[in-house]
Amino acid sequence: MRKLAALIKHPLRELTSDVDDAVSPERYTTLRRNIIALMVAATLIPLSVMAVLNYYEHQNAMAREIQNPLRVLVNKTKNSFELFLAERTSTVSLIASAYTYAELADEQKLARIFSVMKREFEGFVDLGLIDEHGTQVNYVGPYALAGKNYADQRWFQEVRLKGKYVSDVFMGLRKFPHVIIAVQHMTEDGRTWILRATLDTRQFERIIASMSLEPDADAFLVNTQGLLQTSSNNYGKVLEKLTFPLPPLTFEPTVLTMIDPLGREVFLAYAYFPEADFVLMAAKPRSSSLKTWYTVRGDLLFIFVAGVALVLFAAMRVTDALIRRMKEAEDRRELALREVEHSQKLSSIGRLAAGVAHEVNNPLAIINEKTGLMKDILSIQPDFPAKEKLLVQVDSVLRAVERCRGITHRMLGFARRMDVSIEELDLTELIRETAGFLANEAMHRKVDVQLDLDPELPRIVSDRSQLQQVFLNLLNNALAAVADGGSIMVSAQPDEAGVLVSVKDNGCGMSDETMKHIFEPFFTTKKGKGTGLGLSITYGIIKRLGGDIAVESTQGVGTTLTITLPKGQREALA
Amino acid sequence: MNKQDWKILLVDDEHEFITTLAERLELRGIAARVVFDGESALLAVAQDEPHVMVLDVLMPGIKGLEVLERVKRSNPRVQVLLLTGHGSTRDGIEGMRLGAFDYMMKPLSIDTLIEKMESAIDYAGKAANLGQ
Amino acid sequence: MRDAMFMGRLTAGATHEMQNILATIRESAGLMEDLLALGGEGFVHAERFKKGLGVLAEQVERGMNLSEQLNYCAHATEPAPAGADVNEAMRSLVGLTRRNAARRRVSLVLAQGRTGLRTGLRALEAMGLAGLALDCCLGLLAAGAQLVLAVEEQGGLAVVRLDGPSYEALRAQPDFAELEQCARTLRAGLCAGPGGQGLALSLPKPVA
Repeated sequence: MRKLAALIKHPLRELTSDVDDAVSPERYTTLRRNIIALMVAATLIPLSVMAVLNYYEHQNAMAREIQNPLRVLVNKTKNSFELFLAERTSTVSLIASAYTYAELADEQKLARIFSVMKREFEGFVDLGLIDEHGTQVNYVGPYALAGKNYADQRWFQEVRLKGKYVSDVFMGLRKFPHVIIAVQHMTEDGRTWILRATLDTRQFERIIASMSLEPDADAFLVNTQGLLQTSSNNYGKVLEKLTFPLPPLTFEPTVLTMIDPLGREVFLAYAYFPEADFVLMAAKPRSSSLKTWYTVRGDLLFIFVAGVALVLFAAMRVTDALIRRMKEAEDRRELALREVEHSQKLSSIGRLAAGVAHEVNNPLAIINEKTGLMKDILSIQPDFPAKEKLLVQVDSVLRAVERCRGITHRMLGFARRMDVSIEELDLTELIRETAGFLANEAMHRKVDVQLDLDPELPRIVSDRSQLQQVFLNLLNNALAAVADGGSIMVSAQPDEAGVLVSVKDNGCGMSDETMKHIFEPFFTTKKGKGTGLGLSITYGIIKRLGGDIAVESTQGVGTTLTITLPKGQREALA
Repeated sequence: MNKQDWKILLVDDEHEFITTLAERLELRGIAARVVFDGESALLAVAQDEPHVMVLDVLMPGIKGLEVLERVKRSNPRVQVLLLTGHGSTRDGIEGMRLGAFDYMMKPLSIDTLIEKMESAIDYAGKAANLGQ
Repeated sequence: MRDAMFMGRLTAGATHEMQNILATIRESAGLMEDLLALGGEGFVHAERFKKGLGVLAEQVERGMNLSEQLNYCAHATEPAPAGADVNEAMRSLVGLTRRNAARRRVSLVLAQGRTGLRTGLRALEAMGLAGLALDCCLGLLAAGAQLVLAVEEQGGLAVVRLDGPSYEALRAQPDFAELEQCARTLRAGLCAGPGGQGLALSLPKPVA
């Protein structure tokens, strides 16, 4: 967890730091895992949150979508019921008030009225006139109920009290569910009678059927005692006790979710009748009502899973690409490093080659000596026929050796190119030491070598041994140029760019023609003297060290060679 | 000093080269003793101090520069001319730092060699005079 | 690398020229022998002279060999599309290092090994790597010892084996770190030889 936190804090830490670390394959694996984890987390967490929220939102919306129509339907149906009952009640009420007691008590008249009623309104089973004492005065209907006294029945008391009564459903004598509507009429003169009609509840069934519910849904009427007023598909027959307790009383149509006695999760929509002792209920199994939701949920799940898969795939691909790029960059860097190391390795091979070039000098030296010896032998020998021709060949061999020497010389020049070592050095000390090497010869030839070295001379960064070679060459040349007893002046001063060193001699000087060629390879005015490294080498070295060399000379007066050297190595020694 | 009186020691592992060189010197009236490695050179110097020792830098066994150092310590009067491969100035310069009189590159010219020997012997003589 | 290749080109030109000159010397020596045979009467030191000519021929041969090796080196800087011949590279390396070894009084021997093995490395890289290994071994060997370098094949890879001091002792050599580094950069394998003696370098295969 802490690791994750750290990762989140510095998601690209792995990418940015430790670039110089050796990158092992394991590190790539870890890096890859971390990047993928990060990318997946960054995309999947919001995606999942959204999916979950969406799921619940959708589910609620879907539930509302299901519940609302159910509620509306229950409300509508309740209204239908109420309308039905009100209509019947007002019909009975109208008849009770439109006719006189006498007319109603007239058997034939009542029979006529009843037949009209039956024609106009469906569901009336019988009609009876009951006097204020509860005695059925007149009766039209299938049963022989005339003369029956209802005075001690509850409905009678209630209709006397309220003026109107709608009964619960009950089984009539014909074992048929019925509802009684009773209306009390009072005339101005204080006479009271009650008109009582029986309705069969087929009408109820018809109203419920008109809800046109799905087969697994169920709608029914219950009274407030929990007795079913109409048959339910699932919760009992008419007049049986409802198999679950009544929901809390509300006249507003309401939907609640519950587990029914069959164990199904159902939406139960219900409404109590304000005017009657009825509750209308409609139950709809959640599973069927949410069928569409389930398909939606399936789609949602599919999209989610597909999204996750896509994110994973993309994360892998992107990470792979990223890692590949990194690897490539790493490889390129390593290749570059390898190149550099190669150059170093190769410079050691260059040294090896230089070694071989040296080796070549050995047979050359032997050939040189042997041929020299043969020449010596020839020259002390009196003439013989082949002598001249042999001498020509001997000289040709000696010349060939000289040419070979030039080649190895050149080759070692290249090899040296590869072999530069740079350090900070004190030029004053270097010049003094180099001059010291030649002190023997100078002393022997009584040449006055003066050093005028500025003590403030800055230290420079350069190649010690190569510079030493340069000064040795310059001093050697100067020594070769001056006559015995001559003088050489070496001076060194700071210059804006670095250091200026000049070697001045009062020797023979040189012609303009000579000056033109002085820096060319293998050019020499000395005959068989010196170390054989000409000014061309000196020139090459100075140029390579980022400096410059100039010559000034007057024949018979002397020569001055001036070298400028930079303080540091400005350029790479390429 | 006459050339006939010079005592020269030649040191190089290239037999053919050094013996031929000795032969050529001999033709010019210079007597030279030849040895083929550093150990023999040290021994030869100890037995009979030469005026000039011509010493190859690259040899098996004791290296030329080491021989130079040891000879300069035991017999400082011996003047040493170093023979280096062509272009290996580094060894030459290092040799001069260690007290060699001069250095030459192979293949060399016998006349230059004799000139250098002369300078070296001359210098040694003067140095000895100065010392007295 | 550019520098090395530049140097290689120059060296290649130089060695070519050198071989020509050495050939001229050989011709001159031959001609002198003929001249001696035809008009040598009265030449007291003819035998001595002849001996000199023999030495000349020998030394020309020696120079030729060296310059051939140098020439190989010069070309060895170039990448070879079909890979570099390991045996050739090792022969050249041994030729180049033999004298260096001799200075330490160690004789360097190239064993008759598998021929025709190639590596994706440039010849010079293979030589450089094996050269470092040789340096490590040379530092440990006593005077008079023999160091055998062999080229073998193992699982399709060219393996350069050095029969030398124990691998443990080699690891302690100052040059060993450089050898390891070089092997790593060249993607070559480095391990102990059979029985922990000497070392083996497995060179990467040619790409093609």
